[in-house]
Amino acid sequence: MFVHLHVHSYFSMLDGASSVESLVAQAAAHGMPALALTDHNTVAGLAQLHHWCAVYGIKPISGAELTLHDGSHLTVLAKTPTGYENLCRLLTAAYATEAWRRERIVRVPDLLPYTEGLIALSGCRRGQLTKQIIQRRYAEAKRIATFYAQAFAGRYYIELLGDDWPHTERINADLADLGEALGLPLVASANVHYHTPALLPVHDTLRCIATDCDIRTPHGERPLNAAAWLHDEREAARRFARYPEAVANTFRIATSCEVVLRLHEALFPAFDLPSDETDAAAYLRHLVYEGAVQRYPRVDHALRARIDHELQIITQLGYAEYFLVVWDIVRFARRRGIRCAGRGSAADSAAAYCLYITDVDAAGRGLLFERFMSIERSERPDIDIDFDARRRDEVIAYIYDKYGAQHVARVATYQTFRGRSAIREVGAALALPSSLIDTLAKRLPYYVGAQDIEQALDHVPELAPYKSYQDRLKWLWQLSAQITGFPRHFGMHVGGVVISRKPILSLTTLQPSAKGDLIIPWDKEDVEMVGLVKLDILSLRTMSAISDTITLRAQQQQPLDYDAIALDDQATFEMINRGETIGVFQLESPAQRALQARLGADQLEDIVASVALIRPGPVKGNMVDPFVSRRRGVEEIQYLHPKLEPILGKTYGVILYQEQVIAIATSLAQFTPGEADQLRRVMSHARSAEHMDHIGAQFIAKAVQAGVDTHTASQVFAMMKGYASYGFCEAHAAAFATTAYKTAYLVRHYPAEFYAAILNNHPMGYYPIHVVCAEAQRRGVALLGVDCNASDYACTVEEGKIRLGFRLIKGMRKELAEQLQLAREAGPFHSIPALLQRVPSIDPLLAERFIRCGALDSIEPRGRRLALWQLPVWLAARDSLATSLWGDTAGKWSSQETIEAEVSDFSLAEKLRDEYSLLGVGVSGHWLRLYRASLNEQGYTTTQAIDALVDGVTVSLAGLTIRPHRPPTRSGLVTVFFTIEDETGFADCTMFEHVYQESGAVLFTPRGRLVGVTGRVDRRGGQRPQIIVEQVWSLA
Amino acid sequence: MSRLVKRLIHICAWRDEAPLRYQDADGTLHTVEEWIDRWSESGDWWAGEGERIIYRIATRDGVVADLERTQNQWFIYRVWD
Repeated sequence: MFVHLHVHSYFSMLDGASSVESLVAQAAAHGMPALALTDHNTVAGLAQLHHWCAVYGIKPISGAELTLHDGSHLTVLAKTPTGYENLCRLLTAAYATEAWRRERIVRVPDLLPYTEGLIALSGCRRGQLTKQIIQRRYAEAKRIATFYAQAFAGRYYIELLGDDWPHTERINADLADLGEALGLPLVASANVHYHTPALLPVHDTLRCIATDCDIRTPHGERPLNAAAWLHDEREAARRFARYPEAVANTFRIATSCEVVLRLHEALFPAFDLPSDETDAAAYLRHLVYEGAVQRYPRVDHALRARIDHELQIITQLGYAEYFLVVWDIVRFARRRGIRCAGRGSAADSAAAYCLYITDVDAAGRGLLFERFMSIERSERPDIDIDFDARRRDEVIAYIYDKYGAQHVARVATYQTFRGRSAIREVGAALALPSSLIDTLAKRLPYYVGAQDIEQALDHVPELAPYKSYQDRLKWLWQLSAQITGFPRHFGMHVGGVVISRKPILSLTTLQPSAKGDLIIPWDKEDVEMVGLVKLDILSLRTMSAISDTITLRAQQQQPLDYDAIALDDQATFEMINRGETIGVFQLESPAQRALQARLGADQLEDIVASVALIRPGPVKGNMVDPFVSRRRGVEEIQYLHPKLEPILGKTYGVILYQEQVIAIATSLAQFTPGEADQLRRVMSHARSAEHMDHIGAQFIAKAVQAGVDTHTASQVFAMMKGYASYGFCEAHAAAFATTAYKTAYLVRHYPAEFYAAILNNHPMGYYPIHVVCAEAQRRGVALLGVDCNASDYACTVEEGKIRLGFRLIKGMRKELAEQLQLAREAGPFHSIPALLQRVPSIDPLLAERFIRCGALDSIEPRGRRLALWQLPVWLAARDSLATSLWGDTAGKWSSQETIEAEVSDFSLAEKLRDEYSLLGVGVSGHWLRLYRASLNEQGYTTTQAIDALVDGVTVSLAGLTIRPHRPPTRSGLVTVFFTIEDETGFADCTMFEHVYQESGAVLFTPRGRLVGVTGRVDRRGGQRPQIIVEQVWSLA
Repeated sequence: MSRLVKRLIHICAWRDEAPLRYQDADGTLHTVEEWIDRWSESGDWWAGEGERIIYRIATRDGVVADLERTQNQWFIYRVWD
């Protein structure tokens, strides 16, 4: 019997060429009873190893291949749970060293305290022992073997090579002789890097990427042959024909190793109850009802029944303490004034609403709790909370303080090869011309994964010139597709935090991020496999913008109670219905604005639907138009069965939400809510038509049993089938819609403060700074440029106008702005030389930028050009320590600086160029103003003027192109959405496939930044005119 | 010192899968006395090349050479002087 004990998955980044599942499946197919995983210096793959071994019925052996101080390798396997914990500790200790930061190595002395419970194999050709044997340094080999034999106290094996490289026989013979001389056992090893020999090209390509060479370059770290695959026992017998004992020892080792990681263990920590409480569930109940009284005007029977139902499930599943932990975190944030709101399926919970974890009245909306938690699903709840982006770290620090650094960790995320990144790196490895690779990578639509590349060549016009390379590029496509999904970079999940009852190091390793956060090597899926419960402590700049708006209002002695904003403000809905939602959370994209203009929302429910509708799934599923038609009363709503009306009434008969699928299954077919949620999940992951038909038969049978006729049941299932795969979670939509509506309210009633807040938290939202500013101006909010005597670091509001802040100046540092403001307290600056002297930390580059962006216009009336000419003189004088020709005190500046010269200032175009470049917005005007006279002569219309035109009129517009994008569509044809901005406003444009193929590709090139379009005005039944583009051309 | 040769040869006799006797292009027969080493190489997979098996052998008449099998053809690939 043979077992592979030295195996690399793709978690040995840029080396392993197979997924963990592939390796386990192959081992199981060979009839092997066990499989070890020994990735380079990581236990990242072990959660998946244990999962897939359980699925395939073989035993997982946990290990790693360590890189030692001299670059050599040592394979270690965990024999016992103590051994596994030692492995985690030694890797964690290694990650914290300078040696690791610089070179990714473990030092041998650092290994010695952790050998208990570990088995060591001497390693591959890069093993310390093997390297000495290769060089025939037998005395040194003997010393090394003796050292490790003592360090590992009878658990050290000499690893024979099965790699079919030169000298393998001689090396193995020498290793065997050494083993016999020292009484050390041998073990056979294939140093597996992939599960089938056909993956050699993948492995070789990864090694080329890792070593920064290409396939034409011989390199010692590239594979010589395809021997490193997960072969069967017969191949092992052939490779190690002379050493049957080494083969047998693989099985003995595997048998002696325990399974060290238990999956789905309950690892959530206990909550520290108040001294007068003894039961977490009872305390939770008390808190929920306390919150209910605050949240609801009346806690009636129906609400009690709902709350009790939720608490019963929460308690039965053992998550009372989880809710208490989350409540405590939110309470901390609220007490500190850190704005936050829960999102996702947690908003299906009335208990979460009463605990202030979410802002969605789940009971009032009739949201289904079972979409969040159910007895049948029995999965861990997953609560995501958005916090003010600038203060999220305070919340995380609180969690660490409360639960202890031993029990808290951040969750990993793996950037994987996909689309453009795969193309670039594989292309370089294949020695393709860099210009070709660059062009291909840039012109690949964002949604095209590497596996779609070949099709993209046929359908994406920008790639058309490269079709002739198709044969040469075969390997590029194939390899890019094969490595799609392979981990490429290890990083930290933006908000994932785990809190563990057990010390983290008994479960896995901790690796420091650049900022010093400690990260476990598992991502959010693997974390759940192991039984750790994850919280998502997310940052959302919209929360920051809301906080800033409140602050800006308070600064003007006009306080704003955001939480008390009424959810039925008609002025806000009217604004939304005009599609004037730039800056509004979730509603500002062109697709959303177009929808709002057609929808005619007059209640929060409509906003909830909007959030759910504008997503790839509903768009592809053609859900938008029927919804709008029925909402407006144009199309009659028909229900296949009376029981569907209360479920689908709020979405006008269209299935929009996952909760509706659950409700239909419950109501019509008598599924329990938990069973129905299982049904929904199975439907959304159904892999074949046959599988879906099987599910359908189940539903129909139960519906018929419940008294529904077969035909109706079939029709209902057909309707469910269409939507189950991309229906949205209603609770998540509701959570987002509440914030969307409230930010729309802020835009409507406090535009100066809210747009200033957006600028202060940029980058955020959908649009660049100049669009945000243009929208504010369109609403009548004037923009005041950056001014050395009036601006703060942040943008502020002065008498209803937005004063741009220093933070918008490229390269500006906050501390410099603070120094400038401090210097200003002694009195305003009257000249540039005076400013430079009073704020000596302003360097030449920043001084120049101040001038160019107009921040010094108020103290230099002669213009920016002259100021720039003078600047070197002023700077030299400032920096001069000695009395000079120019004089040395500020009092003499005025006589020295006067240069009588006839100098015209920068033109408007020059000023705009600098302002757009340095601030992101033109303060002196708009680009299009430069060309308006000429454009008018040529028959171009302004975006503002199209408001007065009727549908069907053909117009030509010119403007800046904003956010052209090509989302997936139902038909599979390309539709491009973009916005044109001119000095009067914006126009949203839609370009269909035929126009895109003829002329639309220019939008995705640098020449597409300033374009002209011709098209028809079309409101599609709504208020806001769009342009259906018939032609587009570059004006750059 | 070695020379790259890459000359087609004909294997006349085998031991297991290893060449035992071969005939060179000039008709000379060589009998392998010692199999010094054996390894495999994958070839230029991007150019469609297949796997190569190489045997480093020493013949009775004093030739030390690398014999290469590629797609069922045998070559004398390198001769060691």
